[in-house]
Amino acid sequence: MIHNEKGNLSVDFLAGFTIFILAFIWVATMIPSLLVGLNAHSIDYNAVAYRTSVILAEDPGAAGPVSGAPCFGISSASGSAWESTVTAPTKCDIARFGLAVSKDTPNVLDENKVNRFFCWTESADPNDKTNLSYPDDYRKRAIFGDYPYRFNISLRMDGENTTRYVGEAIPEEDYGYIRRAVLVKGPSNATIDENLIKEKYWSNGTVMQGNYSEDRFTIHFNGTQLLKDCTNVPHEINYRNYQIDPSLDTTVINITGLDTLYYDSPSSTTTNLTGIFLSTSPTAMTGRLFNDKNTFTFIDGNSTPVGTLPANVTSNISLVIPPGAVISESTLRTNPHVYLTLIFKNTNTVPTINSTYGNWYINSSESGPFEYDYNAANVTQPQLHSGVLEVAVW
Amino acid sequence: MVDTSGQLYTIEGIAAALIMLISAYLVVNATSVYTPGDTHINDMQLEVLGSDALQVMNTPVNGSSESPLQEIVENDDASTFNTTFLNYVNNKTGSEMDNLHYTANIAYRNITDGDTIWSYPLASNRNMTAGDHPVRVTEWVIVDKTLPPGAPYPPTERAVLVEVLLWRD
Repeated sequence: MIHNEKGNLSVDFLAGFTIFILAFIWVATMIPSLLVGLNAHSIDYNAVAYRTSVILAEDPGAAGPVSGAPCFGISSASGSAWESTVTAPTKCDIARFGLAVSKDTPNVLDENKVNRFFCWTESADPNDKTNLSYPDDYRKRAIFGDYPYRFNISLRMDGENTTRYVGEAIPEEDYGYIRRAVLVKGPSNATIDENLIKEKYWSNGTVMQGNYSEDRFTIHFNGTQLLKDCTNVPHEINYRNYQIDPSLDTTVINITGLDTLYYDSPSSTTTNLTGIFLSTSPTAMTGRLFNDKNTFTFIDGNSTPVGTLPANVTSNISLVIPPGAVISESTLRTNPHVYLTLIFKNTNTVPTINSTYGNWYINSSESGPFEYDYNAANVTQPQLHSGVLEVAVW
Repeated sequence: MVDTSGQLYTIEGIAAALIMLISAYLVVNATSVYTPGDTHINDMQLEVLGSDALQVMNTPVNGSSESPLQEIVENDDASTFNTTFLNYVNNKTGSEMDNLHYTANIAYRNITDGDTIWSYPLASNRNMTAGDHPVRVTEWVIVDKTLPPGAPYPPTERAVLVEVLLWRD
């Protein structure tokens, strides 16, 4: 009998091969757990945090229809002034957040955009068209991506004790993080005090103006110079950092020391602010009136706006004019000259007048309007304030 | 007849299995696994922060002044640079401060010495040691200055490069 074993499989080979295959399969099943060890999530979180910080610190954002968010009709808004209630009346008109003043000025943030961005609520009311809610309104406009990232975005200004933030508490570990050094552009402001009034913007009821009982004080905004002619701004390349634009920035005008103008009886003398109007001519007697629902005029340090004019003024008036509300972009661009006039009517009796003394009244009829411009002697120019912006994503 | 040729197969199988298991055990129990992307994240964060700090320092705070960095370079004001730069890179939005260290140099083209690149130290808050892993950030600054310092020429407007090595403990 011929004994031929060439076709047989060795039992030993079978045993060895089986051990090898079992070990191979076991190792192969461990591959997913190996990938967990590569920290893939944190890599993604860091990338998203960096991307979000670039969007916020280096982009001015955009007004317009937002994709993927529940909204109320299609927005027709455009431009980068998404924070303006004129450009973007509802949050549905905000397409993308971005805090930069302009695309040419990275890391310089706009104070109005900052204020709008960090004004949010945690409860999402589906019918609320104004207040931003965490996280939905922010995911679609700043974080992006299909994954429902959670996040915390915070900003702290030098010299401030409080930190502005949006989002929830950062977990102990496994989150992406980035920190950016930024500057925030503050508003311009002008103060017209009693010394300036006595030096230039005054009447005493006889010399400067026949009708002492009514005085007009006018503030001139030269649209051509403010918006287009930036030759007076030394740093022309980054002129947006220092530009005064009443249609986009808050404008603050303080008139102080009115109670020190009266020579005869300061304690009993008040002035009556009877009206505020906007016109395109320095001699116009009428224009757009702000005598009802006046939300930008604060009298004698009162923290609530005056609401309705006329109103009595003892010492000072603050006009805190929000961007675009009084002087819109179209007004400023269409008309090179815009005039804001305050009308005062004095409630005291005929002042004591002699050749030396008399009551002083704020009045720009003779001197010409107060120029709100790039002259630092008149207007405190916009300043940049340092701060730090942090983005954490998980 | 006893044929022992099959035992070799078993030993090979067991050996291969052991090698794979030991390898997998070592990999899984490694303290951390870095991919190329991972290793650059910390560097990227430092570079972004350092570049931001130099950029905002080179931005005038109002429309009529020089930038803080211009004034620092023109006056060789190491103290102000130290305070301002550390303020920008170490400040956080929370109550805690970061703990970054730096050394800064100024590089410029020396036209009096055969058009070569010279540099001199501006400021630092710690000497770098062999174990530190710094990133390099730079900012071009236009200054009105005599270079090299002390040369018998009036100050002229020119560009210099502020170089900062930045690292974390």
